[in-house]
Amino acid sequence: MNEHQKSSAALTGLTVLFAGLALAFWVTPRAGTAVTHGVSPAGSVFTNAATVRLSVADLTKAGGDVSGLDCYACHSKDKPVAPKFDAAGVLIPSVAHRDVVFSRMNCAACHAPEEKVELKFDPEGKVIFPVAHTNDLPRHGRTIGNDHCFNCHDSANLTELRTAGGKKLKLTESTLLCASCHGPSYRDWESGVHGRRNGFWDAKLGTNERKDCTSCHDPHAPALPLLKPLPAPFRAASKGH
Amino acid sequence: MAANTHLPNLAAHAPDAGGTSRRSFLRTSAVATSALAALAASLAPLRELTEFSSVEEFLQKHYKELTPVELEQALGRVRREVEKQFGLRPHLRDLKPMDGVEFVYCLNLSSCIGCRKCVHACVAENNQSRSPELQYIRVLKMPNGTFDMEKGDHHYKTPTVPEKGFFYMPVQCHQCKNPPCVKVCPVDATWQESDGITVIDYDWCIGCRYCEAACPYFARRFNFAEPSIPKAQLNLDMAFLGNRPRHKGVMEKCHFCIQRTRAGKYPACLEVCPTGARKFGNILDPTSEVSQILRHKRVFVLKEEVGTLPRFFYYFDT
Repeated sequence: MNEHQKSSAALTGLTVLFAGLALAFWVTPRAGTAVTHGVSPAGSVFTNAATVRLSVADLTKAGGDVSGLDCYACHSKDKPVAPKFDAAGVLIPSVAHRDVVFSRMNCAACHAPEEKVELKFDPEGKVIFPVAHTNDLPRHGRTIGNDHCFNCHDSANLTELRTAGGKKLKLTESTLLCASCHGPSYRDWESGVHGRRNGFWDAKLGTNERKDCTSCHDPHAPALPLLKPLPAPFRAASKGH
Repeated sequence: MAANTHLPNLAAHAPDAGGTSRRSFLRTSAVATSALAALAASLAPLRELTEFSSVEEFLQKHYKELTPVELEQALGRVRREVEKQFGLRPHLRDLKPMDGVEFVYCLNLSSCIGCRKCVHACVAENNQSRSPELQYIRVLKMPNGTFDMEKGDHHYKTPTVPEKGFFYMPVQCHQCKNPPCVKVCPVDATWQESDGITVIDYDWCIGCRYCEAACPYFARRFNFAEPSIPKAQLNLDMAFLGNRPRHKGVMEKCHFCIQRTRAGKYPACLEVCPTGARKFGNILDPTSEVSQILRHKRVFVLKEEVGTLPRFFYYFDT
């Protein structure tokens, strides 16, 4: 084999090698081995910084419609609520309200004024709750004695609140009412440790917005509701390990 | 005579000895041409590199060596690239650490309900790839009474949370004071800034993934494929060391939302947390929430024994 044949053979070999490489690149999918899948849903629901509920205070501050929260939709203004107390001074709940606090309900929104609502009672004499009113059942320390409407509400003026110490507060000042029992939580809330803060951590650059107790806690059922979790991370199909 | 007979012989052997015959020239050049064509075809995939590696990017210096003029040029290049890719002009800035500020994060495990709002708010804020999916925060569902991370599950799909008998522990970058990820980086593409945030120069990262291996919290994520973000979901408020779009082959991780926190705002994960479990602020300010927590609550850090000195504290409190 002379020089020319040698170089020809080398060139041919290289040609075959590179042609093979080109073919290999051509047939190999370019996506690589990373897992790709459908784009997960996103949007305002994931970035919405709203609280879990809307309190009367927030609604009032925002200038929203609070007519549906009017206590006097059911109670007459001319005839103040007359709570009855037993000999020990403990409130005797009226039969109609024994188990219920119409917290966010305007009765007239569902019941016609002339409609006669018949209450059903269980053998112990407690009102059996209609399903529609499940949310109105107060769950705020019921088992430890906090079952009196007028522990918090002012019996003389339902649009106001009254602490156990007799201090009158507006509905928008409910945080101070909560503080009258929940001292440590209030202390932490004051310093920003409990509850939500939004906006700016640096007060020099913008407002540090703090949320009230009732922005997250329903005063009649303070435990936070169960939430539906957002989607789990995508997991590639198991490949045997 | 001898000379006469010798000359024709020389002429007859000329092609082999020094000249080139027409046939062999054509054959050799045909083979050489096809060899070059095959070489070019085999190198064709390299052409795709030009899509994300401009000369400007290739010549760009390390972030810390950029002069103000060069930094402005780099910002301009990224703006042009984002505009070319998404058709939207980003609000891209380079935010420097603030004086007298060191960021700390506190998370109340009693309050966290595992709703994963933080995970998705983070993805939306920081322009992480949607497909393949890349997330900075993992929410571990842990059975009560243990801190054995192997018992944690971050793929839980219960219809509602929280589930009885479990607590939820979100894990993200802990912005350690003694960060192992920074130590192992062979090219100094990641470092700790004076406000405590460990950042990455996405243009300097070579994608070796040493930092991912070094991190005891699995906080770092690698772009195995070219990230994809729907145009409508792109967050245009960007920081150079923060949430500007990344390319395939680089690392990324939580950076405490530099584009928000260095402008005085809370991070996105805190902003959406429905329970107020997340607390963030300046530890050098004695009146900040995090200072109060570190003073008054029993905080702990994850994997204290590995000596990373995290700036991310967990605590249990009603």
